[in-house]
Amino acid sequence: MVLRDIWDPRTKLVMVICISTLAVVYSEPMLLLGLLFSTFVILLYLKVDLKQVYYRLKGMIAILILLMFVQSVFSPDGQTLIELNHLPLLTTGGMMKGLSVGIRMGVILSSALILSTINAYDLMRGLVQWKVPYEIAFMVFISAKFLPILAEEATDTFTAIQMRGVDFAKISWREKAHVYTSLLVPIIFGTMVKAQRLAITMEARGARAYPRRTYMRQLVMKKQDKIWNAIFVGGSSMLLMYYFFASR
Amino acid sequence: MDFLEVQNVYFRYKNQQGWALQDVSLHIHKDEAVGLIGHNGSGKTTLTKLLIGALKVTGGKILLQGRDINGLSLAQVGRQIGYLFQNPDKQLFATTVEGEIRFGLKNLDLPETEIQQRVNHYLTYFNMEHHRQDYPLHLSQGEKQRLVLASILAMQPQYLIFDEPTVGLDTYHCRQLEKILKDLKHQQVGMIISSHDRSFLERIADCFITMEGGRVIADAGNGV
Ligand SMILES: Nc1ncnc2c1ncn2[C@@H]1O[C@H](COP(=O)(O)OP(=O)(O)O)[C@@H](O)[C@H]1O
Ligand SMILES: [Mg+2]
Repeated sequence: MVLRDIWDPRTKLVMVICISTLAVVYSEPMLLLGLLFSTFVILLYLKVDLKQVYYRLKGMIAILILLMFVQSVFSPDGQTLIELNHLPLLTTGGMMKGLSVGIRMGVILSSALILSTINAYDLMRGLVQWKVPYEIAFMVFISAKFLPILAEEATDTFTAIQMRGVDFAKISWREKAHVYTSLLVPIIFGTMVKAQRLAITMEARGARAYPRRTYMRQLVMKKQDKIWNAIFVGGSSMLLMYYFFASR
Repeated sequence: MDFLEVQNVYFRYKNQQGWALQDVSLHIHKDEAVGLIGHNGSGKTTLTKLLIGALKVTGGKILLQGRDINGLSLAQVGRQIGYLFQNPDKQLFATTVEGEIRFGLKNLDLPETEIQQRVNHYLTYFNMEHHRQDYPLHLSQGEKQRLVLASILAMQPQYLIFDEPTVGLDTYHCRQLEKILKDLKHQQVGMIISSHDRSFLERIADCFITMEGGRVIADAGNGV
């Protein structure tokens, strides 16, 4: 048996879970920045094109700046940098908070890219071997499998919506948000229909008939994977404990 | 002037090796019903998506009424051409049947009385008044297609493009669609209908374009 990847899919899943947990817990920009940097190192190691990260994060810069101002106005904190009629518009505290939220989103979005390198079928098998209920493993499998198809479905719907008179270059942010919500309806519907069809097809071919079937290729965790799993789970638990107890 | 002009168009999908379309040239008049025939994978969908500017040509040029399609937004194209995707589920986004038809009309900035009038007209024409408040995605396949058609026709485009409109329809609904398309022809609406069903096309189209392997191999009654 030859594994196509350097890491077992489960190792990658554990990594993503650890990274996103830390990202949610941490609130200091420096810590989050460190986390972002580590994620980049992993992505590079997995040979993920970092341009993809750039495309994902590009759209967030405006949101990040907006967040800084919103945080400054509603929870002014630290030194005031810009003010209008004694109303603080931008404060150092607000900037920090905005920055943290932005970097946190960056960490979560880029760590999700680790998942994109997983072979969906391998992941499902791995989860079943880990005694994760077949139904849940299958759901994970379906979402990993359908994410790319989903993106394509969205393009057609996006075209259709514009052909009905929505000009993206001209409408306001609020209207854009509204259109994006409208987009979700057919996309989610389409995915559900597809998943249902697939489930029926698989069942018809006896997929669930023998839950404890043997798989032709058994996934074996290599020593390297076990070590990485231990490092990630142990490391992030220690980081969390340190964060909650030692620094208080 | 031709309504649509395709000049030596090449197209390749981003993650694909070969050409999806190769050296396609066409002149399409505004007042004709064109049948676009070809097997699965011959490039019909790709060509029609290029014609509205939803995909961008890799080489060559497409002109809509003399203007390069690349310079037009989809919203601008949508005022002139109505496009029906093969799968109606992809183009229903409102929460009610009535809202679906209103969607495009509101974007045209029409007065409310005009909107109301058109909504009622098309609901009646497509025999769907009783579904007015229903959820579009809960309709049957044939009804979904009629609703998409109603929503697009309500915007009164001068040209229509149908991608495989007969797929998923039974004989009865095919007949119904045929009647609607013939009605539209009587109203001088030009159209391209892509299909692998030659007998269906022969009952409607004035001329044919035949595709194979990404090339136009025959072009009858439509001077190139
Ligand atoms: N989104 C896509 N990405 C990559 N290749 C595609 C895509 N859509 C279609 N193709 C390829 O382009 C060719 C033409 O397909 P298509 O235009 O859908 O043909 P038709 O509509 O006549 O069935 C086929 O070889 C098909 O595999
Ligand atoms: Mg097609």
